[in-house]
Amino acid sequence: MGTRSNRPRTALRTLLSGVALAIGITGFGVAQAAVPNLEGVWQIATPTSQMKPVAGQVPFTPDGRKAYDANRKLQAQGKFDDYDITLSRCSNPGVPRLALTPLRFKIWQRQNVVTFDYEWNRALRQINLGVPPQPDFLGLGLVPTMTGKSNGHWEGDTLVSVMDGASDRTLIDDLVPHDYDLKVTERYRLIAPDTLEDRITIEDPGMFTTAWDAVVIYKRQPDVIFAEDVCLDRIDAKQPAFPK
Amino acid sequence: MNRLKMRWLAGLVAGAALGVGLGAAPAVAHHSFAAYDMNQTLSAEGTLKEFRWGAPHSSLVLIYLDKGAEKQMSIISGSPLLFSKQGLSPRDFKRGDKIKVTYHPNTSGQPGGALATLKLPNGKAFSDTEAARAGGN
Amino acid sequence: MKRQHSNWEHARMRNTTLTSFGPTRTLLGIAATMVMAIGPQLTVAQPAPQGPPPPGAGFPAPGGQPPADFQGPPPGIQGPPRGGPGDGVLAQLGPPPGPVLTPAQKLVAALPPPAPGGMPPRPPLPADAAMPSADRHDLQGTWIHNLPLAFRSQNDMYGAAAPYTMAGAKVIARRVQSLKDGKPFTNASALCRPPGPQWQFDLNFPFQIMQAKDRLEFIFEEYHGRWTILLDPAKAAIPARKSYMGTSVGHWDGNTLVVETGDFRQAIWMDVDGTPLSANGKLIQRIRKVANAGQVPFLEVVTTIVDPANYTAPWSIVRTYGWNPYLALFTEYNCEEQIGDPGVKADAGLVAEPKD
Repeated sequence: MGTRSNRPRTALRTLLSGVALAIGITGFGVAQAAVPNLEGVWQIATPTSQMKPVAGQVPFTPDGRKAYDANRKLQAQGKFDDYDITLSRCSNPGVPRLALTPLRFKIWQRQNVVTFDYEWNRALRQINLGVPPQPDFLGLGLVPTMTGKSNGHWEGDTLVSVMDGASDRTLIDDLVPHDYDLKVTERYRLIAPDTLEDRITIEDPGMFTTAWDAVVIYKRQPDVIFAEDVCLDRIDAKQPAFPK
Repeated sequence: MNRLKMRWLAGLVAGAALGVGLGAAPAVAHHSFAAYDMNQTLSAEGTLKEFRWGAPHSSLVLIYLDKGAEKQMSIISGSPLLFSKQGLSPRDFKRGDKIKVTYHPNTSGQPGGALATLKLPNGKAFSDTEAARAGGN
Repeated sequence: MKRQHSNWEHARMRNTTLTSFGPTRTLLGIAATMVMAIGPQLTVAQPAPQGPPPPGAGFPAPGGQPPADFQGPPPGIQGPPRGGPGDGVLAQLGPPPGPVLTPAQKLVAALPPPAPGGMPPRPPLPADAAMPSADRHDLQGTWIHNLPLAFRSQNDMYGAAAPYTMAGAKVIARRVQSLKDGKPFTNASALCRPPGPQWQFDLNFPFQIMQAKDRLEFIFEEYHGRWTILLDPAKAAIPARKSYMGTSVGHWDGNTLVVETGDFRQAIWMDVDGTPLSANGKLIQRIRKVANAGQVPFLEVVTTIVDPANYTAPWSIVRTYGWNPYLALFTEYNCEEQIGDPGVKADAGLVAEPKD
């Protein structure tokens, strides 16, 4: 699991007192009180297409290595639809790849749900903090989805989310594969008023010999209205799914 | 003649309503009911390119040989619940599997249509009872 | 042609929808029927006693409070006076004739009716469910359609035929015919593009509203859609590129948020059958939160359609959206996986619509 030794606890009190004012749209105050307020506009601090393991290397199993090498080969050949339907079709990148989104995103903390509202293609991802199950007449809950099912809770100042139920049609990043058994644990916390940390732990016994960690840092951005972004229009115009 | 098919998952269409609970039914029907020729059942076999669960409808893509040339067709399928009731889960559908299907073809003449039956290489089979009720088979 | 239905569908088809009123009915007949037809469905959507009152009960002026002294048909609609000395005679003679339809309206009235709309049963909110803010100017939270769905709006909120121009009538007639022919036309929705601000609201999917002093932001489960209403457009950076959802500017008129939406990137389908709105058309949405004691609050949205290319006059439709905090957790909607597949024609079964 992720080490938490670097936690700057001193920042916490400042945050708790300051965050509610940090962004205009919380002015009407639906966000839950008593937990840190992560709402705002955020963007990755250091853009990257790779989920970099804290330990240096992705601990592939032989099957994992094989699938990874196959993806690299397909990437070199430009056969994106054969391994990465986010690039070829604008399909939701899923968890945890969304953590690497190069554009901005908003976080909403409302009604027992944390919503990640991405500038890119209007993508959405949510963490359930306590919404009870609802009727499911078509059995949609039976099938895997790109963003899976994320259940979250607060541990002090940290939002902990555990995701499973992911489709095998997403990748960990632009190359690293996973299977249906993917489990992603995330720990979100403000390490400074305008700095959000996501410590990610990735488990998938078919692909990785052990759980591995990565850390992604986001910087708060000015409040903004996202322009309507339609990735499939870029694909139709022969442009890349992620705008340059 | 029964070309009208009240089939809630067949909504490719505008039918966005799809993934959505019972309300989906009519929304999907409005466009899909006319899209398949329920009097005809064709069969095909080939390689499963992928199975897409969910919005705006579930569907599978079959790679088949047409006069020696590889082609792809999309076949609309029933709800996840329908598959589940017949003992099938997403993990049963492996990309690259050889499968056999029967289907009601698109009225428009494009390859593909609405699934009637499906057989997987592991012997598991699926019969679209929604399609059967709607007058197919 | 024969259409087969499951039992469940039959059950739903017994319901009457808002769009099913024949144009020859009198308004009074409509008024009575509308209340009767809607009542039972609302008890399904949101069981009593929590269900909202029938929308339009007492015929609200668009977006405003119902006139307390309502005495006759809405403005602009011909109809018999109510409560006058001739009432007894009228009752003996049967319903008087309705308004005369134009040739364009006759063309639309002759179309096969839209598929019947229903709503799935939804469990009532528990007594301890969170409720929205009491502030009438705070629309935040999660809402979902709570009327039987309407797949084609051929009549306005009072039951009168939509004032189609002949050009507009031909468009909807062509689209309905394409369904009959088994070759439905493609449209933004079918291509996994934002379907425009009327369709985006009009199916059985929840949406969340976030609100600040200068804007409201809506996020929708369906199409992972997004809609922004600017309350202070002078200060907002309006994107240079036109959007599928148009540009929306709102202001408060009493407790009603009046939103004008236009400047669309392309003509839109307002509903799944293709009720047209040209790219230069406008929608005026009057949105208010209705919170009566003992009832689950709902949003009422009266939309006035202004589009001379398709309609001879503005006309209005009404929808209501019930409060439901448990639907804040959306089901993933990832139409790109299928529609974006380069190996298969994305529009299976759909054909391009001929241009006018």
